[in-house]
Amino acid sequence: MGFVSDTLSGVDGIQWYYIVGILLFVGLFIGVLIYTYSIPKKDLNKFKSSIFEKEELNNIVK
Amino acid sequence: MEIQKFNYDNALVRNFIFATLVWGAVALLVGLVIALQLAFPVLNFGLEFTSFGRVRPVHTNAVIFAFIGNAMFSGVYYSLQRVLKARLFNDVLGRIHFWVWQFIILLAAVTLLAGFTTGKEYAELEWPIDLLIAVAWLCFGANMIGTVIKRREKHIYTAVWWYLATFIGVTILHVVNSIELPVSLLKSYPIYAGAQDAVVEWWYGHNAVAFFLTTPFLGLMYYYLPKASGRPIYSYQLSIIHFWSLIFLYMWAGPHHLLFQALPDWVQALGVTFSVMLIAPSWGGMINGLMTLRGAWDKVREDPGLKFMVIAITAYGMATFEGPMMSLKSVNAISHFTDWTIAHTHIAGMGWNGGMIFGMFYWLIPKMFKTPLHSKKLANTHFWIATLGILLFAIPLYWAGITQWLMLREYTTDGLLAYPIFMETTVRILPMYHIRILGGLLYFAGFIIFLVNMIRTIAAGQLVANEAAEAPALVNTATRAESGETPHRWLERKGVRLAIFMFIALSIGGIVEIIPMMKVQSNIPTISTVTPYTPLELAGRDIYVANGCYNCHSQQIRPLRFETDRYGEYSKIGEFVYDHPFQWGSRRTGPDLARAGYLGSSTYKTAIWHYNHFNKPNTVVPRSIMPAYPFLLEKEIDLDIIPAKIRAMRMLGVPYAEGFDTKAVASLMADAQKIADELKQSGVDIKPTKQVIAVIAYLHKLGRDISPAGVAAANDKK
Repeated sequence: MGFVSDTLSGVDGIQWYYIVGILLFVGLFIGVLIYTYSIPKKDLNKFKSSIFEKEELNNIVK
Repeated sequence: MEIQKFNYDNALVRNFIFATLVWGAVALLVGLVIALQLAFPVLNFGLEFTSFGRVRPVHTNAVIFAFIGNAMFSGVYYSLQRVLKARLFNDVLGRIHFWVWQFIILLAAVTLLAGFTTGKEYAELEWPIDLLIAVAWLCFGANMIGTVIKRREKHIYTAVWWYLATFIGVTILHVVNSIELPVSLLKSYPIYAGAQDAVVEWWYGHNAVAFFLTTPFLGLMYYYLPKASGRPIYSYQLSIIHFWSLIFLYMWAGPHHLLFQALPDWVQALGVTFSVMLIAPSWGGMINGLMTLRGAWDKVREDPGLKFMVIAITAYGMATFEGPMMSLKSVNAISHFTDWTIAHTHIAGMGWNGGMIFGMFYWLIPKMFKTPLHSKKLANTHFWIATLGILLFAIPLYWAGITQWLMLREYTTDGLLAYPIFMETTVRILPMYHIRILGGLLYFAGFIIFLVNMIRTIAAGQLVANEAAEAPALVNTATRAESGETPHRWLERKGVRLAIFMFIALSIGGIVEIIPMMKVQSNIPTISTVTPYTPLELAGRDIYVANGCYNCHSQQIRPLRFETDRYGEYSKIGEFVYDHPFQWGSRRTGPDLARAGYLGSSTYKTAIWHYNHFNKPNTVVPRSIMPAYPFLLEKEIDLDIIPAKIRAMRMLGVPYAEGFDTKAVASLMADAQKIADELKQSGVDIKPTKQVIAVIAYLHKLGRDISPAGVAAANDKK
């Protein structure tokens, strides 16, 4: 782990980590948003109902 | 298309259900006992095995790992098979998981009561039990991942994502937080010290809440709520968005348990920022849960199981709003170290986890045993009693927390503390502790009603241990990409690939927080006058840890005026560099002890004061609720292990001179004799090898190194 220590010791203003963290999250969030909205609606409905057995599907509250 | 016939393993699910029912009763009963002990200290009985400091970890561990853990496994194993249309991957792994887990629970109860503890909250179990936990957990994970791989359902339903995140998250947390150096079979020291240990421990502690008490239960919600209500989940998209956001953000939030404490500002800022952001994905889950019931609220009125799920989701929403608020520094100054935190955790534990467990079992047990619920009336009675119990438990504790904080920060017009004696604030909140007992009693009574209902239902029905099922075979689920494949399908086509992405999302927060704390020296400024513990002080520290003193006493003075005026100089990172483990605590039932060795501090007491206080606290501090520790006056210090402890500390970087381990016992005896002589001058004749001598030595070390006397002593040595 020596290289980590050496690298981080030279980082000026390590407090910027949390800003980097937020940026990472924003990136992840945008990625997940795009990814989620790329799923076709019919697939989503199929996924939602996939836990129901055939007889249960008939009784689903609309 | 080939239709394959197979059997679901219901026997394993049943075993975990039985374990939940048994351990649930035990865990709640122990909780009731410690609530009684706080209000009526005579119930500690003056025995080491029954004192609050040892029983409280039994309660927390039993609730989390025995009651909630077993319920979680039963719910996961039942739903996993149905969602993936496959029997569990391996029956033997399931059996090993079950029996090892129950063995761990038994060992935990015995060792914690016997005083074998690491002294780190929610991770108190010693290293051999940690290894057993790893075995059981890997069996659980292997069985789950194996079942995902051999599934017959192309799509991996969202509940399974949450289960996978649970497995990966807890694995990371358990491994990192449990790295310790064994000294003997039941004694170890964590490799981390002081502030580093605190960051790792509360990264673990906070995320144990996340990945043992939250993510698996969100998964269970996504299966059992639609099944019980007959409604598919409200938004599948929302379930994916809040999944990734929640697992990513949670891992950063741990330092909010350490605000105003001896940590670099950047770590605290990180914890606060991400804790506030956590509201959004948490409420995503709550909204998805409650909106699932749209159009089905008439069912909620009729179905006690659904009522419990609604209480659970509501409590989840409350707790996940309150948590981020408590992580704001201005609110944290009030809530931390007071009963507010206890109220918060019980809203989550009793409401969210308890509610989901009861709701799930009211649906699952009649279904598994193929019989109607024995009594809906009893279930409704349970619901109302439990709900009232939660309110009567939590409201007095919120009240107590704020009352105590207001008293602690109250000043007279002369600028002096209005209540300089900590005990005054304790006495004022005792009535709230009495009402809390009533709340706990009601919740426990509700559990007994639930237990009777479940036993009667099970007795009336019959379990099909291997339930026949059939599903179309799934060909080439993992290897072949389809034309027009969506990113979602690409991600979940291979269960292992999905798990790796989860691992990356989970790891980032921990890496960013922990590695700089370990590797960058400037984060841990040292203090030249702070010296390692002498062998006697180290022995005393281990006795302090063994008796769970950290459950009631903190060792951390925050830089807040009402704290520095009460206890003395605020705590600094460099004071704790030899603390394996750190003992900062999280609740002050008694006063902070960080300056118990600082001559002139309000918490500095003489040896004879401590001797009498341990023997009969009430004779020294009238109306004290501290348990009596007469056994410390009788029990001997374990001298045989002292050299091994010194060697272990040396290995961890504590700068004892080479060969000091061979002289450690002589050093200990010389120091102990001085305290025994001092006590003799006060009229107490006691052997220097008694445990109370070591604990007094330890308490007199706390804060001494930065006191004028300590600095002068350090300068003399130079």
